[in-house]
Amino acid sequence: MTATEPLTAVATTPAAELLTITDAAAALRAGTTTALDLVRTSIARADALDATLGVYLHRTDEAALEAAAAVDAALAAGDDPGPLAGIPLGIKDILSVEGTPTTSQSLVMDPAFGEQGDAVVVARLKAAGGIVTGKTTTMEYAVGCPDPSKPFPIPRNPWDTERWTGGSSSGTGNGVAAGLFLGGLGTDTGGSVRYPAALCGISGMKQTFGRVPKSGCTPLGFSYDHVGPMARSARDCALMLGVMAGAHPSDPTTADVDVPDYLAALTGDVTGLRIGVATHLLDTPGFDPENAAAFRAAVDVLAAAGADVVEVALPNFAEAMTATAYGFCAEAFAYHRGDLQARWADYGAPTRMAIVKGALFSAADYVQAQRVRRATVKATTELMTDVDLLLTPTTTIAAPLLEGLDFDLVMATVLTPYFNAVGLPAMSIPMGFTSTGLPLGLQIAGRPFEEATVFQAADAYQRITTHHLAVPAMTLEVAA
Amino acid sequence: MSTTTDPKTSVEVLLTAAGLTVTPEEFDAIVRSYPDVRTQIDAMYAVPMVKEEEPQLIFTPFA
Repeated sequence: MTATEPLTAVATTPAAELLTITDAAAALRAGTTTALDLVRTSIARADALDATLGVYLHRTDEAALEAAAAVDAALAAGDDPGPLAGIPLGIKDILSVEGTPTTSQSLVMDPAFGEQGDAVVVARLKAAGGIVTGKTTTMEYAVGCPDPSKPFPIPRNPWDTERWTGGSSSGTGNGVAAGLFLGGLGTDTGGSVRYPAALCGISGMKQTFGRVPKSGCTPLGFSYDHVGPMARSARDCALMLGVMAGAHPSDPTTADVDVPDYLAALTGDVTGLRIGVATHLLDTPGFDPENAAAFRAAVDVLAAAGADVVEVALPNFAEAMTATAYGFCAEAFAYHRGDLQARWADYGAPTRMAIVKGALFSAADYVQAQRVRRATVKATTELMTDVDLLLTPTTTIAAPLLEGLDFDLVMATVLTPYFNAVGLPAMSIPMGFTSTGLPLGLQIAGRPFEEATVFQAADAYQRITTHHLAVPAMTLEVAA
Repeated sequence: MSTTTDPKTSVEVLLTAAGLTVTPEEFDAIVRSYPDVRTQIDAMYAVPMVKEEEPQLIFTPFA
């Protein structure tokens, strides 16, 4: 797979102005930028913005510069260092990366976890030439809200620093949005890739469960967890997923299903695609009318481009949301029970109060959640004999204020956990802004292992719109 | 499990069984939210199509 068809012209484009992985890769090969320039730009932006935004828990500047020099040398020698050659990437700090600590942003985490070397998915990104610039902030163990009483950075939204990035892949989300790196890894158990993608104005894919190995990643909900790509465009996510996907013996939940050429699916054409629109979700209590208007406008864009749009109702929506919201807490509680007993106060309050829900869930409740999941998988399979894709807003509201955040209230605003219950691929892409300048996300879901169709529609939308190319003012000020 | 049990008693029993010691404020918060939590969980038993369904569990006899 090669990076082709840049979204914007790259001729003589300085690294600081390259927004997407696709453009940067093209510029690198055209000789109009270098890997060192890309990494130096990332470092400069981190120096300027990280203290405000709380993107990183650990930076790897020196290793990144060395890797960039190696990429430039390989290119100068006429070698192909891979489709992600020279691309700065941020890695959520629940994934193991060789030579870096892995904290899961927790005082409880056993530091030995980080000694296992690169997680499989990180190794695949590096083998494709990707350059890790550091480990990014997360909600503790990938669940909860920021806890100011703990000694970790508070991730802030680059569109309004009084507001949250969403979580739990917070640092990868605001890092991509603010240009501290061009792409990165998040994880998604109930929406933790798609939620910060929506709130930060970038793209993020939670692919089919089993598509990408999770080994080397701290678990949250074993049967709900996904490691997914986050970047500015759907094309960038497609490029990353093509590198990340594929079964691996270290993760028995991975599926031995062929990985298609995702970039080849990006035709820009949605003619004849049948898209089911879950308009009933706009009736969710507290739904922001501006968000509803942006969603309807996004649907209109795809319809005008030739998609066949029909109304659908997502089967068992409330019950499947519950199966995720409490099911992953039960799985997380199994993992954390001993530490919660011994070190309750070392956990952040939002995280421990989320995981404790697992103690309220009986064994029969857990089995029932898994029965709901199977029934809903069957129902969505039936639904998707008639439609190729499902469309929903990603959230009910834009980024909330950091002051007064409550995890239970946050969970009531996300429309993402449904697709963790059923394991279908689902991504969030930017679909506009509120009148106060906050990004809004469009969620597109597909059939199992048909990420290519999701990318096809998302990319077609992004060829028509420019929401994904908007840059926060603070990034422009650094560039200036 | 039934919601007719006093939430405070239920939460106390469940947390004790789990070996967890929470702060008084957290205990009160869990007690306050418990009826809603239970209602949501109980609703999963009311999905008609689930009655004869196998659970979506992952198990294999191979390591």
